Amino acid sequence: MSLLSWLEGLPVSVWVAESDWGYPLLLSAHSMGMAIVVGLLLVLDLRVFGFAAGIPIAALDRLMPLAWGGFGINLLSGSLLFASTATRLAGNWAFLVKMACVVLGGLTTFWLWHQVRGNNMSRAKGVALLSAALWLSAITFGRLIAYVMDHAILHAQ
Amino acid sequence: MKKSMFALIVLLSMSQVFAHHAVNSQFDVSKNVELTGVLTKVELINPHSYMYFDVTGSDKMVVNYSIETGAPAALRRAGLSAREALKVGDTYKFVICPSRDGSPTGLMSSLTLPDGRSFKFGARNNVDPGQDQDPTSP
Repeated sequence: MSLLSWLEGLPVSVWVAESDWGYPLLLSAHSMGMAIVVGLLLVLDLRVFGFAAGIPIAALDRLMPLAWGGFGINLLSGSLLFASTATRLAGNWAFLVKMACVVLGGLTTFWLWHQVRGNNMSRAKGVALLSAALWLSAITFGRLIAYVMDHAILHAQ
Repeated sequence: MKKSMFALIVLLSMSQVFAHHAVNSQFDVSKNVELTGVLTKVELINPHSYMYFDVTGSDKMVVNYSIETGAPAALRRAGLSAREALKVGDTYKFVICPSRDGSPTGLMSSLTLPDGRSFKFGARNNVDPGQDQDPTSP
């Protein structure tokens, strides 16, 4: 049995997939975590572009623990949602593109803070644009996962 | 040039993606087809579960059908405990809204177990109009 089907067969994974509330509640938590982390990082990106210029960018640093909190909610809820559908998700191109966007979005956010702290604002604007594009793409491809899954299953044979 | 190539690739992949989930475009919900087949696999996953059946046609050819049905919790609300009731290798009667493209796929309207118990799911079931479900109910 592969690692993926072992994961899918764990009692907690079966509970997520088959209970009345497991999947819908975790998916809701995943949306809320997404709103927190992507919402706050978009605020940062927009501020770097020049919106709300009266707010010092350094002050946004204080919001980053909240963004980490949102990320933590999504790491946990996302891992459980993945475990419940592991064999199907591992081969789902929308899921794989989304995960790549999340990883690159995270790295880009670190890069953005590096540029901001170095007061390299023209470079920072480009990085903020990339960051916004990656996080918004992560949401879009995340939304496509279910559609790709149905299509792949129905046209597999 | 690069940009237009990218746009083309995105559009092509989108047309595949959105081929589904407009349930009415994928399946002919005005039709019902009754089939009998041997269960080969069950996938109890969200947002939709899948059941696979080997169906023997009038020409004796065996075709494996992929049938979309509700999420595991929705199946249970319809009264079906899928884990206990569904056994790979058993023969089931089922009614589907057939695919529009002729592929061996469908949206399950009802399922009858070997012991005769029958379950109706969300898809419209026109085989027995007298028991048609209220389309406004979830």
